[in-house]
This record gives sequence, C-alpha cells and structure tokens, in this order.
Amino acid sequence: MARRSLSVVTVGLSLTAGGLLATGATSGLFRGRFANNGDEFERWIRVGLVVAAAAVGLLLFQWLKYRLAEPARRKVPPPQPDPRLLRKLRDDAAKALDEHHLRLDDVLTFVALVIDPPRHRQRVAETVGLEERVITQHVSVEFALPPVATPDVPRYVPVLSPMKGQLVDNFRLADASGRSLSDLSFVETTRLAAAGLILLLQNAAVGVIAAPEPDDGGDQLLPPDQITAEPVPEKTITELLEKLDPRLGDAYLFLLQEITWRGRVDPATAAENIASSLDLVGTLISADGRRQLQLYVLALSVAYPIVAVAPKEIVAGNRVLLRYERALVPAALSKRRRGLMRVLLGLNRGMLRVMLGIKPYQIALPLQLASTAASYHMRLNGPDNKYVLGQHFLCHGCGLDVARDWVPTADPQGEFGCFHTTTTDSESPRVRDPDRHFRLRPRSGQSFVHLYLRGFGSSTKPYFRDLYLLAQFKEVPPGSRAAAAVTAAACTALVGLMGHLVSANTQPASVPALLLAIPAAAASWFGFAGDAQTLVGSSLLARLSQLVTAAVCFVAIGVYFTSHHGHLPGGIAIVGISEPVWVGLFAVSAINFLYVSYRFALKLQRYHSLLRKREQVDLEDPLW
Amino acid sequence: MAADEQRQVRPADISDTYWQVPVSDYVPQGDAPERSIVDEPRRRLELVWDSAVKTLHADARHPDPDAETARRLREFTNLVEARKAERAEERRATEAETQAAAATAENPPSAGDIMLRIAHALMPATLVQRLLPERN
Repeated sequence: MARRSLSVVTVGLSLTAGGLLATGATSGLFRGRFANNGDEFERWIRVGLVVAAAAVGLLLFQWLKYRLAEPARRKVPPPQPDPRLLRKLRDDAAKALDEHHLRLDDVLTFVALVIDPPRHRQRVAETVGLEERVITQHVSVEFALPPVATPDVPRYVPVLSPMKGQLVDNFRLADASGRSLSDLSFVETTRLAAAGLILLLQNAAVGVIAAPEPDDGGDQLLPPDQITAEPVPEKTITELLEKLDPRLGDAYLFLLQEITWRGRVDPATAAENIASSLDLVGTLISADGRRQLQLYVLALSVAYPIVAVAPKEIVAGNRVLLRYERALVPAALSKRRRGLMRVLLGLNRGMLRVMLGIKPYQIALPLQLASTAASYHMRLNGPDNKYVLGQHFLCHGCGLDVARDWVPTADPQGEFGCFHTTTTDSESPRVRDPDRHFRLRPRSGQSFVHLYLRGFGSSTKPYFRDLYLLAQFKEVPPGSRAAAAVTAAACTALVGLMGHLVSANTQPASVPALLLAIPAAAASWFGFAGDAQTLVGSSLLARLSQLVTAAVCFVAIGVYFTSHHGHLPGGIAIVGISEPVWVGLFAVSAINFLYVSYRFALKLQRYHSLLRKREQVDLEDPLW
Repeated sequence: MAADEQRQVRPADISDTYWQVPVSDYVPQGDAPERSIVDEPRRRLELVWDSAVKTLHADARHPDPDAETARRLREFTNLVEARKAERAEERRATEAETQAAAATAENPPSAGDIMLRIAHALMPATLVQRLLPERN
C-alpha cells in the first residue's frame, strides 16, 4: 500500500484558503486605503476574499478526494489450468479410483445434485438476520439423496454453489443437531467433478446405442432422436465402451478445462464454449446425455460447489438435513436523481442518509434458493424495535408483485426480459397448477417477514427466475419521531416565551437562554445516539426535525443576546411576539413541531391498526 | 384492480435508499431431461464406471502424457473455436431471417420486388443489374 504523504499542492491550497479566510474575517485592513467610502469598499473586498477562500476550499476538497481515491491496481488474472494441470487432475482421479477414495455412489450423488437440485433438495429454510453492516444467512437443507449400493459409508453432498471469484465469509457447516461437519477441499472437489464428468460423458455415449437387430449382427449407432428405450445388453455396452471415439476423450479434456477455469466466469461465454464442444461430438452422445453434460459443466464452470461429507450416522433412509451459515455484505443503493444538490455537491438521498447517520430501512433479498428446492421458506428477522411496514414478493425485471396467474417461461419476455407471462385461461390457475403455491405472512406489527414457496424450482421445465423479497421496516412507536416531536414542542414553547419577553421589552436575563440550550442538547443527543447495532435504520424525518430544532435553538440564543430587532408593522403580534426575527424562529419551530407530530400520529395509527388485525386467510390476496 | 395497481412497486420506483443483498448462489438453468442418470440401471452404470476408470488409466499410461494432452487439447480447442464462429454465423442468419420475416409481415413485397427476386434466382447477378439497375 502506497504511503500518502502531505503534498505541496495540499499545503499550498490549505495556506491560500486559510490566508484568504483570515484576511476576509479581519476588519480595518483596507478601510484607510480609500479616500472616500472606505467602509463600503472594505466590505466588498472582504466579501470577495471570503468567496475566494470558499472557491479555493472547494478546489482543495476535490484535490483531496482525488488523492483519497483507490489507486489503479495492476490486474493480474489468476493462473488458468494448463495441459499439465489437467493431466495431473486426470491422473489424480484415476489414483483416487484405484484406492477406492472415490466410488461410483459418491460420484452419482454429486452428479445428480449438481444437475437436478430441486429433485433432491426437498426443503430449504433460509433465515436472514440483520446485523451492523452484514446480513447473516442461516440455511437448512433437507436432502433426499439417490439410493446407493453401500449405504454404510459417508456421502458427499454439495450443499451450496457460490459463484466463482466470490469469497464465502464466516462459513460454518453443521448437521441437524448443530454439530460441525467437514467439507471437501478444493482439490478433492475438483477430482470428484472430473470423475463425474467422465461418468456422464461415457454414459451419454452408451445412450446412442440401440439393441442390435437379429439380422444386424452388431451394434448400431443411431441419431439421438431415434434412440429406443429398450434395455441394452451388457455385452453391447462393454463393446461400445472399448471402442469409444477418441474425440470423446478430447471433449473430456476441453470440458475439464472449463470446469477448472478460475475466477469469475461469464455464464453466456461458458455456455457457448460447452455447446460448441458438444456439437463436435454430437453424433456420439445421446440428446439426454448432452443436456446433462451441458447442465453439469455449466454449473461447475460458473460456480464452485461446497461439498459436505455427511457421516452415515446422520443419513436415515437416504434423507439427511444439513445446515450452513455465512455472512453477506449488502450494497446501499438509491435511485439516481438530478437535483441541484446532486449537481453541485454530489449529494443524493443516500449521501444525505450517510451524513446524518441513518441507515436504509428497506432491504431487497434475492430468492434464488427457491429455485433449487421443492419447497422453500424465507424468514427475514428485523430488529426487535422495528415492525414490518411493507413486504413485496417481486420480479426483479419488471418490479411487479408475483401473481397467481403468472406462468413461468423458458425464454425472456417483454421489455424487461422477465421469465414469466400471464395466463389467459379462464380457469383458475390454482386448478391448473396446484403444485405451485406461495404465501406471505400477513403484517400484524411483527418484526419478521415469512415467505413460503412451493414448486418454484424445477430443472426439467421452465421456472420463475430473478424473484426477490422487498421488506420495509419502521420503528415501533414511540421511537425517534416521538423524541423529535417532544424536543420540537419544547423548542417551540421556549422560543415563543422568549419572543414574547423580548417583544414586551422585558429586561433580558440569561436564564431563558440557558433554558433554550436544553432542547438543543436533547435534539443532538436523541439524534445521534443509537441506530448502530442493526442494519436497518430509524427515521430520516425524525433526524432532520431534530437538526432543525437544534438550529432554531442555537440561532435563538444568539438572537437573544443581540440588540433589539424592531417590530412588525401596524402593531401586529403573533402569539404576543412582535419582533420579526422571533416571529420567524417561532414559525420555523412550530411548523417543524406540527409536521413531525402529524407524521408521528400517522405512524402511530398505522401501527395500531396492524396490532388490531386478526389473522384471516384471504385466498385472493397472498400479499395482504 | 386499483388495489393491484397500488401494490405494484418497481425497483426503480423505490423512493429511498435500500439494501440490496447480492445474488450469491448459482441456480441451474433448467432443461434437464426427465430421466436422470440415477434412474439408469445399476448394472449399466457399473459398466460405464469401470470403463471410465480404464479410460483414465489408459490416458495416464501414455509415454509423454503432458505433450499428448497439450496436443489433443490444442487441436480440439481449435475445432471448438471454428464451431463457435459457425454458430455465431448461424445465429446472425437466423436473426436476419426473423427480421426479414417481420419486415415482410409489416410491408408485403410489391410485384416488382417479387419479380426481382425471381430474376435473381434465375439469372446471373450482373445480368439482373444490367436489366433492372434502378431497382437493384
């Protein structure tokens, strides 16, 4: 890391800005140099100096921002598999097979779970907790493993498939009782993947043979669409396997290279490579075998599976429940606006929240695990002092709430490339597709969101993609809005009292001014305390209101100790205040108080209505 | 209907800042065959497995396995690149046909266009150009 030293430019700009500001703040420097109107000229010169100091300060800020930016790093791509590595991997796989470290059942389980997860992942329950800057994901997966010939050995079960290039944080793997489990190393996983690839490739090659005709006298290779479902004699299989086309071996090497490719991989590029290579051996493998190979190699090209070693004790009747947890770091996003503040200072609502120390109150969670399981539960736990204000089960493309009359499509549809369309059948879609169901727990003032999905994952037919859950949390009343309303009320009352005293020409005393310091301190205290323990933040409105309260108090203290500011024309007085400055301060404080109180009352009423809501099943509105 | 419209929230319409959790896991892309490899007869799988083991050993016994692997991989990669180019060309042709079909559906060809196509099909291009220069 490069050391950041103090540069000449930084020092020069700082001294210039400081000098200009100091000179602009000093009076009497220029007055004597002018014969006439010295005060007037000096005033303008001082204003000019302050403006110049501000301009140099802005330049200094931009310069420091530029200096603080991350230096461009030299990008070195990760070392990619070469022929020597591939050969070693192949030899390692052969050795592992010799020493019975890898058995057919191990490889079959791995291949089946990579190609068709929804068939073998019966239930996935995901619980998401919100912490300071991360979310913690706790997932339990109930597997229905393929039957094996030797059940009294450990099973290799791929539990999750993070994308390549992604670092998995705070990962922990356990069984149903919470006991830690081991997982395969990178080398062991790659060896397993290599063995699975050759098994799939040769099985696909066997798929193209048909039973020999009586007068044929030998094996016959058929195009994939003419394959029969007749059982193939063992002798035929053995003979075919003994004289496999060497191109299959070449394809194996190429596909193994795709699997072992390191770093982030573009799925479209990988899919194109795989499809093109399988085109070259298209007549040597069956159509089903080709599809299996495509899915298998693509899954392992794009992602790196984490494979759990499940001891035989925890597998009962080929069913096993595994748990894992990890941490994910979300990004704070906001809609880009083109306002004046954004143009001048780069400020948007997200930046404003950062400045005021308020975290976003909404969270968007992708539901990709729903696509890998027969049934899926998502529970998003909010902080105890928050309740669920809104919950939406959405399509990420079009942003619409998922509806029961949606039908999944294989190809992207419409302007946003969504994988769904709307059924035009007059029959109820519940009748047409009873296997698919979803439900959100109704809002009743609770602090969590619970979504249940069934039938949203399928490897053999189109399924919904890019679905996510948007949850909005708000503070349980009274919360920070009540605190803001109370401090605004105190400020308004004190400003009104002092304005009244000053307008009545009462002798100024320091006690009222000291009283004004109380709401200012309270606003500062309530505004910047707390809110650091959880990911979702409190009210931005309350924070802004407290800032306004503090500002009014400080200005009022300053005004109180300065000279008399005159009266409103015509003897007008507002709640006994006739001085314009005090009228203005009182108006600002009163508006602040009224608005934050109004919003607080709204929130209170909303929360109360949620608390009174009785649970009832509304079949027409799953998002209630 | 009004209630449905109210419920519709587009991500772009989220008025405030929100946390976006990244998509972390790979999801299979569908299109798997109904019949899985685990549905195959056990005996057949065992035969395939034995053959797979033999294949791996046979490759490992090559006198110069590294050079052999490199040669095979290089040659096959070249073939794959050529095939990728062919596929790209096929896709372009398909897209062009689709666009042409869409354009035809919107603007049916005139009698002149049809005659021109027939002329192109029956006569050399230079002759067509000479006979029908303004339409060609």
